[in-house]
Amino acid sequence: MQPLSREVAREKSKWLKSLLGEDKIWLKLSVLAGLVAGLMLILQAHLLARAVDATLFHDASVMDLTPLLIGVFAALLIRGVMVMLREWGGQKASSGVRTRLRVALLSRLAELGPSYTRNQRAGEISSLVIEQTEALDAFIARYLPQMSLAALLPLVILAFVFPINWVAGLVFLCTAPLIPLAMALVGMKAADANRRNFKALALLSAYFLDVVQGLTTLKLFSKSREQTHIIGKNAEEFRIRTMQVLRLAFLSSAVLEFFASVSIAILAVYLGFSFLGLIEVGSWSGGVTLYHALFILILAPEFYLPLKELGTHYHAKQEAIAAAERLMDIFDELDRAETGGDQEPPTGAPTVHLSNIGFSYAAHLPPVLRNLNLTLNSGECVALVGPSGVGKSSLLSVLAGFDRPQEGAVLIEGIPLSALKRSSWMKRIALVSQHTTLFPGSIRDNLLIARPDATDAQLDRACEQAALTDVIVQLSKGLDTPVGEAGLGFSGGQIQRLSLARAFLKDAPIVLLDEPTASLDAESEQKVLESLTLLCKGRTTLLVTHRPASMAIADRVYRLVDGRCEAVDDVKMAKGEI
Amino acid sequence: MKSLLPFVRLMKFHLGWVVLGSTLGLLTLLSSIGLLALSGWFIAAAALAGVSLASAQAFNYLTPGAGVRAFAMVRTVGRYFERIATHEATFRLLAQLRVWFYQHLEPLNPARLKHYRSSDLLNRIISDINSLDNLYLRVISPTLIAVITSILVAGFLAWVSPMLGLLLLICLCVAGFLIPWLGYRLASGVGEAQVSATSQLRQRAITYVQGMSELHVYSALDSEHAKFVQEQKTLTDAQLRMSLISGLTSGMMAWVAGIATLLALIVAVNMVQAEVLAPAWLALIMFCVLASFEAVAPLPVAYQFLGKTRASAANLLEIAEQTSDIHFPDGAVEVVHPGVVSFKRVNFAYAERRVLDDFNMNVEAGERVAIMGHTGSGKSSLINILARFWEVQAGEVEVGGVNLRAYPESQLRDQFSVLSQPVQLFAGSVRDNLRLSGEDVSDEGMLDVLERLGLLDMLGSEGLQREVGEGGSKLSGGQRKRLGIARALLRNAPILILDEPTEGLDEATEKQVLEVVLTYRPTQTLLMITHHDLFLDRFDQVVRIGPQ
Repeated sequence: MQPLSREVAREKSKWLKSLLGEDKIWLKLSVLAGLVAGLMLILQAHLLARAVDATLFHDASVMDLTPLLIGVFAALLIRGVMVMLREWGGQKASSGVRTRLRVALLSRLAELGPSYTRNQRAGEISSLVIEQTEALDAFIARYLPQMSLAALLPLVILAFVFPINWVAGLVFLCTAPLIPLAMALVGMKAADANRRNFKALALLSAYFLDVVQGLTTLKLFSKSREQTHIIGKNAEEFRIRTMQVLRLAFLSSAVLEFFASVSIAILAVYLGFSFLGLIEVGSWSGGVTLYHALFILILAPEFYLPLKELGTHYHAKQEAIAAAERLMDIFDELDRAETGGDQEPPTGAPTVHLSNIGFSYAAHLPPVLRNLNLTLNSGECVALVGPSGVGKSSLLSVLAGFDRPQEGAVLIEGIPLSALKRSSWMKRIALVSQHTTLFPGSIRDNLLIARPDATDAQLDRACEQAALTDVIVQLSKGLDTPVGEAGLGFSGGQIQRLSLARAFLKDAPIVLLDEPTASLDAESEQKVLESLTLLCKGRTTLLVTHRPASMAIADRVYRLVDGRCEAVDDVKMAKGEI
Repeated sequence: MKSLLPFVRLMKFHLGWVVLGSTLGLLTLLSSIGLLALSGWFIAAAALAGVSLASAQAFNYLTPGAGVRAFAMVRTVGRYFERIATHEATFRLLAQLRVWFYQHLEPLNPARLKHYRSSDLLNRIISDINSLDNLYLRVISPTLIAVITSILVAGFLAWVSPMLGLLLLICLCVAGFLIPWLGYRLASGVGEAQVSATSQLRQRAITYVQGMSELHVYSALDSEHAKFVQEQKTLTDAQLRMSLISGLTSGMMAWVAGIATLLALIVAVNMVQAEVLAPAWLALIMFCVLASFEAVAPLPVAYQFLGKTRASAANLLEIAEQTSDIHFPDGAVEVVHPGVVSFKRVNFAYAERRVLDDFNMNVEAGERVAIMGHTGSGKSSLINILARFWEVQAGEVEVGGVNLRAYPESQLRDQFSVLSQPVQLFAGSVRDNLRLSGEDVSDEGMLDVLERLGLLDMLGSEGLQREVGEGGSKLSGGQRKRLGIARALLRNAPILILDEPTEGLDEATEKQVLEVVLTYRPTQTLLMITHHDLFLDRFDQVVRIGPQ
């Protein structure tokens, strides 16, 4: 992998900042609070130095010091409140950005559609939406405000120190610019290491999801124990990568620590020597007083503190940039789905014509569909048969608009699919596919996806039509039974029937059926076919199947051969052939 | 706290790094305090000595000067290596934890795990284990360092004046215990909420991706989106509360440190006035007190996140503390009649649902049996019983003439080759997936089976290197199924069990597949669960399950 060039890093950083939008105001609040807290610290240093100086050189008693001490107390109170405000402002900005980014990610995934997500590992994408987005938190909440403070606070302190002693001011001034420079040099290497680190985490996630989902299979093949070593190896790899990042990241904070310690040492020696008369330069007039010396010494660690804190968040910046890179990838991904136009699709069951369709999944892969022509007349059920992997599912995907054909067009009552408003088109179709996803929630929630305003009576009817009622009455909680992972607790056939119930609920004029009865036994299949006949009545239906019983409900049967459709005149003959 | 103990115990494997990290941390912190205190004293003493020329010339500046430089160096170098050592210790621990977690997860039978979504388990092994880095790095090591430093610095001040020592100790205790405890109390519940919100959010994200086509077609993207946003709000609300709490605690820390300095100053000024304290020590005491709060500064945030750490630890323990209710004996058995299967008067029910009632079946070695029944009639539960994922409630099950319960796990697995439903493939190549059948399976063997099953076209130009995608997502349903069958056929076991091997296949392919299944290993016992009546005449026995 190429190391991140500065320009690329800057571009990512810019993108991240552009996410801020209206939340910028919170960051400003955070910076302002930090600045006031810094001023209070300077006031505190001034008062404390005065108090010690007064005691040692003017023989002051505690009573004499009272106004100074009350001043210190007041400064403390204000500082405490400002610290709180600073934290709150940063977090406010960060949660705003992450909320909007996640929403944007989800919308983007929706835009890319099933044709993109089908080829992605869900574990990796979830890590993008959860971890990598979360990785921006420290960058926005802490790093960005700290960056302003690291630039401002040292200047403020300098403004107070210079008028008192120019040598001390020079020590600060000379060491300060070296720090960001050294840190940046180290940081650039850390960025690259960090990107690899993220990759390792994503791989670890994806691998583990795979193992967990397939644990039963691994057990059956006596392979589950071996996974221990592989997981150990991956975890070890992740540790090594993380440490690579950290060793470099810590180096930058060591640079800071070095300058802070050395300048305190130099200042202490310089000030001591000035008192002893060994050094005569530095103060503007009247020599160095103990007040000056103490004031400078108390502020010395504070001068480097904002930079030091920036250093602890520098890691956060690298993480954020690495995350940004992966997040931006999704936004840069090419659309494969039909984007649609603004025309409303015709109402009622339309005639659908697939005209000279050519389609392949990627430029370097051989086409799946070639110059394909097929007409589905209004309200007609057409079955499409052919061996597995011949492209039947791709054809459905093109018809649904999940994939855009490279050649030809899908015409709905003569209007190209690409000109139709996508959301309206989606309202016109119902789909029962081979893989049905059950969403977290109850059976009812999963049915309501198809029609959020459905009444109980409508739900019951849809279940009845999909032959699902028998299953539901067996459950003690009925429709409110929660569904487990991949429908654990439900058989493949039952999940398929749930999917059919969704289609019944939706009541759309176009129905796309992808092996709807594949996993049903003869009895259930017969039941479902009866209701399918009902469903197809008056709707334009494309049925992908290989089951003879299913073919029987079709008005016409086509065979998909070499990416083209061939009419099968005699359904009986087709059954015999296949 | 109990939930954290097992994890503290695991630290003993990395004791070297743990001790090194904490020692370096202590050294660094003491140098840091020493640097400021000595510098303060040096300046004040020099200022006082500088009043007259004689005292200025008599002042020994070499020793304190050297001390200041030494403290500065130790602080710089110590800090770097401390961070390396503590992080090394932490990440070694985390790597070990992942393996530890899997080792506890793996023996649990699928019946136990079916309540967990795999996204939830994924969350545990990734996020929850990552959260445990808080434990050593931010809780244990800093606490240890803070306690030792507090005692040392307070002891030093007590030597100057017992009053001062006591004062500092009290203030450090307030800052080190009371404020962190307050932060912990305020944040308890919030941390847990954050953990569970993250896990739910992940679940939503995974189903959102997996169910993309359904969401599109049912125009449910917006509603699913809304649910996601709502759950996200729970997370960000918790985070905002957390930041308020950490703001509050760090504000309070600043107060306590300031007040301690003020009080110390008052006491010390009085002592100087009473001439029981050398004047230059006033500056030393002030800097010493100011700097000593660096020891307790990191504690509030650490304890505030302890709630989150504990929730994560509890999540991990929930899995780790489960024991499989099914035990396999250790000693090997002698398989008397390989390939024989018998069920005698077996009763079997899942928690609520009765599946088998007084079920009997006898299968001889090499026999071919078709097992038929309605969807949901419990045909697949035969696999769960034979693999001992579930236990029967009554009756006897024998395999190879030996009671099922007598088998050690690996030997039992060797008796069967199973195609379960749905077929589970793994991200990787076709070869990786077929390799599961055994290390000794050759490429030629694989290609031969794939050819017979009509899968050669699927391989394309990449051959066995063809990637199948996550869970086989880059293959069609029929291809996935047949690859699963190939995997089952390649495994050389006395008994082959196929669950609906031809479901989702077109009729021509179905015939082709059945032909291969029936002829690939002629002497193998075959149990085929099906609801098709194709080729039934080629089976020796047809067993029907469930109500007739």
